[in-house]
Amino acid sequence: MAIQEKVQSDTQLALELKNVSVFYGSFRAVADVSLPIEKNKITAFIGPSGCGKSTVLRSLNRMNDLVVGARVEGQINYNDKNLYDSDVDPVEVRRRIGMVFQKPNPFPKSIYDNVAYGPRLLGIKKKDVLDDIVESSLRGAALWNEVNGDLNKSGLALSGGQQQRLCIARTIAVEPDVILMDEPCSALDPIATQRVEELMRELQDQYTIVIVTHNMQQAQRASDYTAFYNIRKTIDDGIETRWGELVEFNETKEVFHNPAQQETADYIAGRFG
Amino acid sequence: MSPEKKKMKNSSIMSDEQQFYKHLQARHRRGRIGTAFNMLSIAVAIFALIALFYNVANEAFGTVGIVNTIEPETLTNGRPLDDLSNDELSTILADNVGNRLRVLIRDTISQVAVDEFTSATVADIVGDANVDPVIADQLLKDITVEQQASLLANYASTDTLRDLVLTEVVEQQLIASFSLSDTIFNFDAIKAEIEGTILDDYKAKSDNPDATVEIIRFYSWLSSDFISSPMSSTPALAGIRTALIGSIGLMVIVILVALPVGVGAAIYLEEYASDSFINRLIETNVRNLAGVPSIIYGMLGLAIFVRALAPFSSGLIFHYNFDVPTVDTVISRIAPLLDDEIVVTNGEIINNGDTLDTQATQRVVDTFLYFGTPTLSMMGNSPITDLANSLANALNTSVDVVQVGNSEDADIEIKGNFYTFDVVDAPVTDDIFDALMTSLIRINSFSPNGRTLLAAGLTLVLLILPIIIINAQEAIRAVPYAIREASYGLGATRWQTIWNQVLPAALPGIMTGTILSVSRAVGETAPLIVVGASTFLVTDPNSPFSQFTAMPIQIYQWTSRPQGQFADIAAAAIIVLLTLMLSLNAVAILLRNRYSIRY
Repeated sequence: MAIQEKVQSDTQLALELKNVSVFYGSFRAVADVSLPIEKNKITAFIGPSGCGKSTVLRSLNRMNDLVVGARVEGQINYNDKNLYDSDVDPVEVRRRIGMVFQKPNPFPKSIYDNVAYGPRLLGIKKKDVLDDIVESSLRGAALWNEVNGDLNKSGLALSGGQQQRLCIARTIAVEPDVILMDEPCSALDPIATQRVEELMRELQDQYTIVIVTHNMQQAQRASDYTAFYNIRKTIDDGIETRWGELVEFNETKEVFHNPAQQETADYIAGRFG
Repeated sequence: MSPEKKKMKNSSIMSDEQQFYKHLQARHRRGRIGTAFNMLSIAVAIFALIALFYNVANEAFGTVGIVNTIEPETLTNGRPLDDLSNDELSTILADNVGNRLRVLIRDTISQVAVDEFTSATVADIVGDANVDPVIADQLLKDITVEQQASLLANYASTDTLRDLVLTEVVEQQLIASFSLSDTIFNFDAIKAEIEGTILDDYKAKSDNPDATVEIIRFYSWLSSDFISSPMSSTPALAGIRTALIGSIGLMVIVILVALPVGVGAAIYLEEYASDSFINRLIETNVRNLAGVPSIIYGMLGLAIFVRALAPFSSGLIFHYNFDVPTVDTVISRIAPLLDDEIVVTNGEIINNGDTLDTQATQRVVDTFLYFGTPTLSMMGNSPITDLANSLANALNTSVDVVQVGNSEDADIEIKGNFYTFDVVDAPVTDDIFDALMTSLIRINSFSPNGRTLLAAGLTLVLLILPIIIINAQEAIRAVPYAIREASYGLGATRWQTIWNQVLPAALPGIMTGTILSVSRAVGETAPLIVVGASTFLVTDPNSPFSQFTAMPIQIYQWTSRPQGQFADIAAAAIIVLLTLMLSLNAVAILLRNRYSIRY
C-alpha cells in the first residue's frame, strides 16, 4: 500500500519511533528506542561511537534492509503507517525519506545527471521539466551559483563541500518529506561545514531533517531537538554484551543546558566519549 | 608479547649497536639478492620473447628459388608478357590449358552461382544479353575452346589474364627455400646451392632441361596474397583467408554469447544471490571450471553442440542449406520417373498419365513431402523398409524388401548396403518403384552435420564463460558500495541501481576481461580439433552453419607437415595470429585507460 495515500493526520510528527530495536543477526545493536520526530524541525542524534545512532537513522528509511541479516522490531510510523509493515515497499520509503551520507558520494556522472538521477528513476524524461528540477534543486542546495554554466562537469571534480551539497541537491530533487543526514560534515572543513549547517536551516521550511553528528557544537547550533544515545553493557560469564540505548530526548537547549540525566551532562561536558 | 618482554628486547637492540650494523649489512644483502633474482627473471622472459620472434621471423622470411615450368618467352616469341593484348593472352591460355578454360571462366568472369554454372547459358554467365547471339543461349560446354577464349578476352581484364597465364601456363614452382639467417649470413653459399645441386635435381626430375632459376632474396611468405588466398596444397599458393575469416567468426559468436551470459551470471552472483549453500557451491564450481583443461571443453562441445544439438548447430531447424521440397519440386522429380504428365491446377494435382491415377499421385507426393521435410523428431535417414512400405502404401500395393549381400543382385545401394524391392502387384513396375525409392532416399537422406562454426563458437563460449564470470564479478565488486547506497537512497530499485550505476561503472573492467578471454579463445586449438575443425578448407565460411577452420588449427596443421615450406607459411600465419591477438589486447588496454572511473 502506498504510504503517502494515508490521510494526513493533524499530528505534527513526521516520524514516530515506538520501541524500536535493531538486530544484526542475533546481535541486538539498539534496544527499545521510542521518540517522536517533529515536522519541519531538525532533530540531532548524538552519542559516543557504537551507541547505535547511525543504526537508528538508517532504519528510518529501511537502508538497513540492504545489510544481510538486519532486522527491526517495534514500530516506525510515518503518516500513521508502520514503515516495516509487510505491504510497504522499501523503494517508496526511500523515495519519501531521503538520505545524505557521511562521505560525499556523487555518482561518477555530470552534475546535471547526478541531480536528474532521482527524477529520472521516477520516470520523468522531458528535458525542460528535468532542467527546472535540476536548477531548483541546485538552488535549494545553495550550489547553483557555483556550478551554473558548468553542469556537464563531473560531480567528482567538485570540492568536498560542494560534493556534499550536490548530494543534498540530488536528495531534494525527488522532493522527499524527510532528509536523513548521517554525519554529513565529518569529511568537510569548518567553512564547508558552516555552509551545510546554514543550508539545513534553509531546508527546514520544507523538509524534516534528522542528523547524526559527533560534533556537539553542531548539534547545539543546528538542531531543534536532540536525542542522546549511550552504550549499555552487561558481562555474563565473562562474555561482554553491548548495545545502544536512547538516554534522553528533549529540545536541544534543554538537553544542553538542563540535562535530565547525569550521563548526558557528563557526555556533553566531554567527560567521556 | 607481554610489556616486560617487549622492554627487554628493545633494550637489547638498543644496547648492541654493532649487532645493528651487522644486521643492516645482512638486510641490504638479502635485498640485493632478491633484486638480482627479479632482474634475472625479466632477463629470461626477454630472452624467450626474442627467441620466439627470431624463430618466427627466421621462417617467415628468407630466400627462395623459383623456376618456370614453361618459359614465358617461348610462348610469346620473345616478347615480354606485359606487352601482350587480351586476345593474345587468351589464345595462349586456350592453347595450353584446353578444357580447364571453363574452370577459369567460372573463377574469373562468371556472374552466376557456382552450383548453377554448368546449367547456365553463356549470356547468363557473362551477365551480358548482347553477347554474340550464336553462342548466347548455349551451355558453356557446348561451345568451342576458341569461343570460350574470346569470352575471356572480352570480359576479363588484362591483369587477370596475365595472372592466369602466369599461374596456369608458366606455372612458377618453388624449388628452394632458405631461412632468414641463411639469407643474411650465408647468401653466397645458398645461391650456389640453388643454382647448382637443387636446379640440377629439378632438371633431372622434370622434363624441363632448359629450366633457369630465379632467386629472390628476402622473400616474404607473409604478403597480401597470403592473407587473401584460401588454403592450398601448394605452400607457395596457400593462404590464411579461410582460417582468418573462421577465427573472426568464432570471435563474433563468442563475444555475442559469452558477454551477455557471463555478465548476467556475474550480476546474479554478486547482486542477487544470498549467501546460501547452493550459491556458494555454484560460485566454487565456476572458479574451478576456469581451470579445466580446454580439451575437456572440446569433448563437452562435441557431445552437446556437435552431436546432441546437431539440428540446431547445423542450421537444420532453420532450414539452412536445405530446401524443403514443395509440391512442384516433388512433381518435377517423380513425373519423369513415372513417364506421366502431372500438372497442378488451382492447388490440385491432376495426373493424365497411364501409370498412376490422380489420387495415387497425390499420396505419392504427400509421402515425398513428409519424408523430405526434416523435423526434430524425424531426422536424417529413415530406415529403408519404412520408406519402402510408406511408398508402397501410397501406391496402394505392398512391397517385399530384401537386403542382399551381393551387389549383382541388388536394385539399389544405400551406404554400402544392397536392397532388392519386389512390388507385390500393380500399379507400378519394379523398375519404377526402384527409381521412386532412389529419389525418395535422396531427398530423405539429409543428415545434419554439427561440425560448424556455431558449434565451435559455442564450445569456446563454454571455455571462457567461467573466466568472464569471475572477471565480471571482480569488476562489479570493485564498484564502491557508496554508489549503490546513494542510488538506493534516492528510491532506485535494485535493477535500476544495477543498470544505471553498477554496470556503467563496472563496464570498462568487464570489457577488458572479456577481450582478454576472447583473445585466449581465439588462440585455442585443442577444443577446435575435437569439435571437428576442417584442416583443408578452400571456401570461406559464410554463415554460422558453415564448415570452418581457424588460424591455430591451420598453423598446427601446417607445422605437422613434412615439407619445409609449410613451416614457412606456418610462421607467416603465426605472425598474423599474433598481430590479431596483440591488437585485441591493445583494444583492451585502450578501453581500460579511456573509460575507467576513478573515485
